[in-house]
Amino acid sequence: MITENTSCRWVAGLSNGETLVEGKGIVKEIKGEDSPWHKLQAYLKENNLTIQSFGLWVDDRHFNLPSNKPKFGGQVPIGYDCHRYCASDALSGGGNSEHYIFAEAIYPDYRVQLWVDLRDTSKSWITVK
Amino acid sequence: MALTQTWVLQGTSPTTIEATDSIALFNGTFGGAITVNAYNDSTHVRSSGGTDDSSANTPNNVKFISQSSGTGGDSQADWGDGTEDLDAMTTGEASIKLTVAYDSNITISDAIIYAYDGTTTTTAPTGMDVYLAEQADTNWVNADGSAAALALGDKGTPATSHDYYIAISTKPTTVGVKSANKVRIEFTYQ
Repeated sequence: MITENTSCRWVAGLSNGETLVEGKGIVKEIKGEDSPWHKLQAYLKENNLTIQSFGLWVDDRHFNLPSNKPKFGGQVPIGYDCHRYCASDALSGGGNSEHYIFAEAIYPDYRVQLWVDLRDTSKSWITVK
Repeated sequence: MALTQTWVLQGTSPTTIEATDSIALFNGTFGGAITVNAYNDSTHVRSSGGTDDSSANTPNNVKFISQSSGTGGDSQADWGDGTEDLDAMTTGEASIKLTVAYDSNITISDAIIYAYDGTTTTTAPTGMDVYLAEQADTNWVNADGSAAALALGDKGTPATSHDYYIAISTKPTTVGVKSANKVRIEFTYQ
């Protein structure tokens, strides 16, 4: 069993001015219901909204991807995505496991990924794919 | 919120493979060595204490027969009914059932599974070849090292539980116990 560090959440700024925080309000995590990410996607579709900014918050630390008005200039993403990643040994008498969250800024030809280690949220990486 | 993985060796009755257990492939008898360059005739769950946890459950065994000698180039395997095309294996005939569960409805993507030497995920297991297939696959994947991993199908419909049915077959290439090698799974979910 991998228990998540729930202090690490995605935060989405929407085109109607709302800011949605994973696990809160209309994207609250409730047993048996869609995950917060799928609730967000449904909310965007139902209300014809888009994500304008996206990042990961760990308590009072904010790790931000480029927004549609990038604070430091640069390209504007065409979309965002967010996953959790799990890697673990199995079938072999134990071993190690890893658990991360990564947020993506999507560009036409590549993705910028912001990774945070969910077992040690002081560790973060950026990669381009 | 917690993510759980439940690994089961299927059979007449399922045997749960606990975190400290191993899957053990033998020549038909628990503890019986497979001849070098031959394939497993039995699959078991070995406890951390070395006992056969699956002995009462008539566990499934799926044996590699060929890589491409079946219909239209399909791989072949034997899961107890003689040689058949690999893609004829039903979910209940696969050796392994993996259930990934979460409290809320999630989707899973980019899942891969492979064997490695127990130290470096890119390095093939030592002294053995490991073949993996997901139920309905047409061909075995020689999943030795992360670069050769078997890709599992995406689970694109949100649900609190997703099942994977996997066949595993191994061939020792040298003499000796191969217990340092490991199987690893990687996936993303949202």
